[in-house]
Amino acid sequence: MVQIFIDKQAYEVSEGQNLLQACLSLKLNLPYFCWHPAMGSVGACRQCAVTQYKDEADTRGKMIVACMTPVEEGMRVSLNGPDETHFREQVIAALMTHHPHDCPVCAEGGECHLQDMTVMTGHYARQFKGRKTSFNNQYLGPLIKHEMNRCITCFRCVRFYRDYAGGDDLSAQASKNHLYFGRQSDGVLESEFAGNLVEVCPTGVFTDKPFGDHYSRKWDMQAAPSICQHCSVGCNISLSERYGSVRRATNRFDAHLNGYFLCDRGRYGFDFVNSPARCQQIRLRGKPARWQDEQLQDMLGSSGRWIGVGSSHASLEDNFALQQLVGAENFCPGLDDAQPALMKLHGEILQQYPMASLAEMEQADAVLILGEDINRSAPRMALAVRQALLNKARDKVESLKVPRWQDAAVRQVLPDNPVPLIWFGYGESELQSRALVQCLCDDQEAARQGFLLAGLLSEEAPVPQTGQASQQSSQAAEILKNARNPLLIGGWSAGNPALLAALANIRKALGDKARLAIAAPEMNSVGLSLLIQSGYLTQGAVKEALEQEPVNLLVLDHQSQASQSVLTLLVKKARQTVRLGLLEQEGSQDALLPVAAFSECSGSAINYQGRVQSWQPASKMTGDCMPGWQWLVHLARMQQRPLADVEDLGQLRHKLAQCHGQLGDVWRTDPHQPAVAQQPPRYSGRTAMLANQTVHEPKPYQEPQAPYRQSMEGVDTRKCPTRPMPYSWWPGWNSNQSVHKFQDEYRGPALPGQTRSVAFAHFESSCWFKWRPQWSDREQVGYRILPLKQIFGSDGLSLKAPAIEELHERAQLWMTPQLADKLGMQAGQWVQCDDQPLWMQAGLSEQVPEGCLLAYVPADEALPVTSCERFAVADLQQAEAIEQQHQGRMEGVRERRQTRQSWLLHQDEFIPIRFVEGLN
Amino acid sequence: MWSQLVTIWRVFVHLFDKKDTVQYPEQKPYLAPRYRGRIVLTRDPDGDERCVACNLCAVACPVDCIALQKTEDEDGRWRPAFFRINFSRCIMCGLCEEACPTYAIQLTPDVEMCEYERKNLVYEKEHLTIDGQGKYPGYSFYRKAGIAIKGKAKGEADQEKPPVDVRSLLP
Amino acid sequence: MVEMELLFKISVLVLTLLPTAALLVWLERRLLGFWQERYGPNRVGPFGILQSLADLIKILFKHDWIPPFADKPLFVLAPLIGALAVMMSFVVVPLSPGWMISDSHIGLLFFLAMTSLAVYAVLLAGWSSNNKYALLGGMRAAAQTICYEVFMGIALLGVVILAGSFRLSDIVEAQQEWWFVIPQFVGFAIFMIAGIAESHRLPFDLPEAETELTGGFHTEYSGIKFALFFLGEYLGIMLISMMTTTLFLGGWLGPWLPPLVWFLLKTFVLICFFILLRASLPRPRYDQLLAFGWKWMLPLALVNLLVTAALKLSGGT
Repeated sequence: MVQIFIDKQAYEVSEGQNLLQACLSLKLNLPYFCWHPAMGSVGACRQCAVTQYKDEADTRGKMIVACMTPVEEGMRVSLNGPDETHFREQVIAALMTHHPHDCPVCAEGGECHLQDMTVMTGHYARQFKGRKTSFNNQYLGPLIKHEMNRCITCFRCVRFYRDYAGGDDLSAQASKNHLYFGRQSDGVLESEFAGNLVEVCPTGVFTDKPFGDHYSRKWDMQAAPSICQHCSVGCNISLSERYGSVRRATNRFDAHLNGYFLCDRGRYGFDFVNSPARCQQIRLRGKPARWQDEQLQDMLGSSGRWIGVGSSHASLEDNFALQQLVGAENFCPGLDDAQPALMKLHGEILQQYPMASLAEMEQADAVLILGEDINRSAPRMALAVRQALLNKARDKVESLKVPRWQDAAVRQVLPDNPVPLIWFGYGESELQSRALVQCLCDDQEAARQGFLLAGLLSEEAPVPQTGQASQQSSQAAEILKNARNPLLIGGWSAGNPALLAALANIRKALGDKARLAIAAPEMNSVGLSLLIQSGYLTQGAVKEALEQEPVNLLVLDHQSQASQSVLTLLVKKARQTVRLGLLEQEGSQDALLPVAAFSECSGSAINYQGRVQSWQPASKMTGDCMPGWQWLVHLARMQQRPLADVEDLGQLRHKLAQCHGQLGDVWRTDPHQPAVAQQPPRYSGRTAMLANQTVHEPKPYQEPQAPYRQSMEGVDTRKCPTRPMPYSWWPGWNSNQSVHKFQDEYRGPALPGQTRSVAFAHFESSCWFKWRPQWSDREQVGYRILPLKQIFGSDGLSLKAPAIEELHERAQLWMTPQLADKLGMQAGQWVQCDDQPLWMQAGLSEQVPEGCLLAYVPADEALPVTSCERFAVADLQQAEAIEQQHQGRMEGVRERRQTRQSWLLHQDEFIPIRFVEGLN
Repeated sequence: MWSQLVTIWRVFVHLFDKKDTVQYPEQKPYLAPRYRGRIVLTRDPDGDERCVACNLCAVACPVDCIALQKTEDEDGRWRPAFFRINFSRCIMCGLCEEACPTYAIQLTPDVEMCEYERKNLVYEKEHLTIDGQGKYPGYSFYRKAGIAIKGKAKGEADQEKPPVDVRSLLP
Repeated sequence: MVEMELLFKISVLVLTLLPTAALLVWLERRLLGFWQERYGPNRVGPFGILQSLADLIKILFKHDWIPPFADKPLFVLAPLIGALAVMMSFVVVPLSPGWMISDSHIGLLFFLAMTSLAVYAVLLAGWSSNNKYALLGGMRAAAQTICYEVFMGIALLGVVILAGSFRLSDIVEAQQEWWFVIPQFVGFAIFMIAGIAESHRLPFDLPEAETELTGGFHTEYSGIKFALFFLGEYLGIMLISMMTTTLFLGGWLGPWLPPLVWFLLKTFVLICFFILLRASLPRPRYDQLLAFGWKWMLPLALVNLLVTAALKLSGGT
């Protein structure tokens, strides 16, 4: 800690940071634009100018830029003297000369950093009499809207897009007043983190397009702290609601996980909750039914054996309720046969080692990625790894007596000071292209090499009988041995438990200096590994059971086409099937009970680290929807099963914590703490939004004893010290930059309410995993098909968001050019494997292991084979038909988007006043 | 004591003064054009809706009696999909008019808007919109704004230069 | 036969007093309006004369609310005492030679006794409401009444000395030559001031001072019980006006017109004067009120009595 004097007042601040950061940490108002807590300082905008004095006697001082000045012991500065205040006002005045008169029609208005800073500096009238520069906008895809006139040239967008996220299709063009931030030509922004431009841009140059289509001001939206549902990282998001529909998801700062940024799947994927395909009605054999219908009651109350099929898309509570209802011996964790083994193993590893948070990943100085393409399966994790790659450069500049946060300096020395990234695996990706040590291999070989690598690092590690450590493995062993903070990353994408075991062994061999992270496919996959510790049914066992005796099937929602096709088979054999469905799916059930989406009810999930995170409802349930667990409790009451005594979510969670002691008091809230208001203090239209339906304003709906209230009643987000904040706002700081008022320092101690709560808390003594020969079975004839993922497409839920559906890619089959030559195929041709009906577009890549093909299949299609021998290439007619079909589909997407838009606008006027409070 | 007596006398003399009261229903008082009565939505000189659904009136409203939803039309203009004022809550304070950046929402000197049913005091956009420009003739927000709309491309607004050629090397 | 006549007179009195009190409310509002360059209530009936009737109907239909924290029996009793005590005083008022219900030889004492009783209404109302404002109002009423009661009686003794009787009709008759307002001007002024204070009228309405005590003793009252307090107050104005007429302005005496008309005319002028006071004078502070009473009015009244008695003894007029 050092002591500095700001406006003659002494403050204690921590060393090593810059003055701007120190001032903001002290909750002082100092305007800035180009600085960003995650991106360091470049000193471009000169907005944070302050006056520094030599000593107490110095009265004149000199103007400095706070973001470029490290804090020093005894430093004397003034923020509010006349000189620097005038200077800052003049900087804003200059920035504003060409800023258009757009605020009323700008989607950033009301949460604009530029607005905040302009008010803060006191610049209120334009003195510039000349004409303003104008620019033509670009089409940047369905996610981002471009409005270049508003730019104040702070360079944050390119610094984020190129430097931080590694994109290369957005750049600064032209010069001086003509400076232009855009692409070479119109087109979709390629980076999967492009959505962050919306939050990074201090004004409205880049705005959220789907949100803009159904727009509402920030001050008008009821927000809730929520958790992203689209991968296992479980980024913290904030969902905003207005007039009964969810409008957008924004980043919610979390020191351990997402920090300031989200990936586009997380930012835009939430939109499935507004999909017209959402189940809204109870259905009995396809026809709308009512809860009281006798037939339905008979079906749901029928005795006999019930088998429950859980889902890693559903919350921990829903899965637990299902498990309790049918019993652990009748609970199947999912329809993918490969997954239970992975779940089991992931759980075991979590009990032995803590897993690295994203913040910890950013500290690594050597990275090993074993058979996982985290760029696609957990994009936010890849972004964190990208930041770790700067660490050597940061150390270097520090050794040259330049602060670590001097971003330009760090970038300067980066090429000569790379952090070693070791890559075992297949497929092309951003991280793969940056790897220092690369080994192209399939998952089995990667696992084998992993085991051998562990053997190189430790004598005790068990190694497979066959195989030899490759040259890359020995290089990797050397690097990892010398690293201070090695990071080991793997995942489930290949469906091979051996990869997980290999990573665990390397982790054990390296000891506690190493950090481990294993990416699971879905947001609650690890939650299921917690539940199935006491036993489970595999899909095969379910099939057998169905053949042996008449069994009822109770299915939690499933999104992917692959599991859907399995389910169709099961339904045929089952006596009757009841599905708790989120999205409509044809003919996969006898009875359908509509469940509420994550935006409408509270729930929890366990992320890849084993961290339990809960979300809060942002809007209200409509139609017949109820939370899954509530349906299950009703079923339990009808069947007189153990769950029947549960009355509310709190009791269910209590039960869950009883069954799994390590959960402890994850969900315990202090009953004496006042509830937090989810509506901002300036929420408008309260007495008019329902007036067309009734002039008698209904009482605000609220769950009894809920820690959050869907109204303005309750304490405001600033005064809830221990609860996750629904939205970030501070007087004078309307934009998301207000978050610094809630935190101490960037990535310093966690925000309140974000303390770690880990479901696998007790770390047992670690053990070596033995190599199992079946892990390298190669019985397939022909070519192995290795699964490949895509950001938009591999996740079934986010595919229902229109913007993402528009971007999703079609099925692809990648092969080496040599193989293509041999098979007589060309890139871009449409191919079928064996007799599967799915057409895939052939692609050529060097990053395909020998004897393998890489197949990417979108979640709404299925390719149920793992190897193939024969290929059928589409002839011209067929190709045309495929193309036409695709055109038709895209047309459909656009049309659906249009109809959905008008439907949503219509819904805005008819906010449901009646809220489902239970079906009794 | 004397001053009290004088006071009593002076008050008494008021008996013979002319009354200030305006006998309202029979006798209509003069209400200035800027009087704060019934709220209307005006149109710009081209006859298009002035309201751009920026929500500032709604947020300025102390009784929260304005609700609206923004929509964007084919022509690039922002418009309210619906715009509702609950006059049974309105206190005619005029803050919405103060807040309006486009002169769309204006208060008029019409104050005679009583109803026996509260429901009838809920005015929708079609009830609020008038055909004229109200108190501020000649103002068109989109002539000043930087966004492009149908009939006004980039660089065609007042005080704007034509769009920059990004490929040009000239400063 | 005598009883029948008495009963008739009583009923006529009661039946005229009540509507007159109501009319007085209207009159007051109109006059206040005029003095403030307004019209006052002029919509209901001709000249708005039915305004009070409309108000009355409204107030009768109000919820007859007794606060749960109040002392219920006293709370109900208080307004009754108030209205009844004032109405009892009218028994001794000589309207005209032929219109006296009771021409008692101690009429004046009876009047003083009844006005003292009226303070119980206010005191009990303040006490039973169990409300700090009401209690403060009640306390003020008690202190104010004690203070002003004393010199009111003393001021009247001057009149009694001149007339040589407590009988009100005798007092009126004694003014054939001079109205007592001339020899007893000081007494007249003191009685007027005390009378205003007794009936809690502005500027001496400190017990209810709505700007500081939100209504004082009747804060918790509503509906019919509040109406009774209101009735008491307006009857009080009439009573004090009538007594002033009787004692100082020669009662029914006057040329040409019938005695009753003279009496009513004088009363009316006094009532208007009461209202004019309300329209023009601000309310004094509480300590000023009491200081004025004890330090100025009481000595003045005593001096007046002494001088009158001395003159009577010496001059024999």
